[in-house]
Amino acid sequence: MNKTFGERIAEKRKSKGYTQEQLAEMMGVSAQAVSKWENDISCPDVMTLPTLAQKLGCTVDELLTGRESAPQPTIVPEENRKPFEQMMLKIVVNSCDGDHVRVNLPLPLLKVFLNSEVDLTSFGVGNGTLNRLNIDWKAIMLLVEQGTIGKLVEVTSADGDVVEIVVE
Amino acid sequence: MMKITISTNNGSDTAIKGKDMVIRIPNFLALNNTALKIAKKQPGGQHIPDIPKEFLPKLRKAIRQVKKIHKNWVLVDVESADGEKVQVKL
Repeated sequence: MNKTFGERIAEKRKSKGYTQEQLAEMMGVSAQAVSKWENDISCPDVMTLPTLAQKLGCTVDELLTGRESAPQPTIVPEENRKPFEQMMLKIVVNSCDGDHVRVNLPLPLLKVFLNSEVDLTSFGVGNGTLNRLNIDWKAIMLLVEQGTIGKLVEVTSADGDVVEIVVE
Repeated sequence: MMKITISTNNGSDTAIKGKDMVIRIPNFLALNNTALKIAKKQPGGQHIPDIPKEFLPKLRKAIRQVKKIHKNWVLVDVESADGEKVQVKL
């Protein structure tokens, strides 16, 4: 079951290790106000949402909808990288008519495809949206091998389909 | 084992409404050249790319290695707007 807005605030606050009093102080409100937010009795002022999201280490979208947004792309130094075998490439297609498709492709498997010259773009994922994007998978693999992780591609098509490619 | 789980808890008028249907096919049966030829002749088969003959054994081997690391790996997870779900595990 989806969490309420208040429950998400409480969860994020606890994961940051803040007390209600500490968050209240950061936001310039009373501890009772934070308590009311978390119990869905009242909501924070809309103008304070970006600050609240920043203090809780998430996005406004994540706070409002509960949908976790993929991390922005970053280059990880070689010594801190996950072993290649454990890395996963996720293709997320959210179609305009409300369908969601998620493909979890371990990178070693993607490499097998790339080495074989099988045409990945001809796979029909997400009502053909992925095909039309004509993604350069070799370029993506090169980026990953150089240590880039996070959301590498985000495309919104004219008819409203959204495609994200995330490497974790 | 290829495991396809179809959950039709919402919105479906099919005979399996409200139930989960699970189809299990051993990978060596699902991912072989004969199955590929048959699949390409089915509706939607045009989306399956041309795959070299020697590719599928390599793919099966890679899948075995991947599954040792990602124990609960779900290859494809689809949720339709009316709440029906399809999961494909290899």
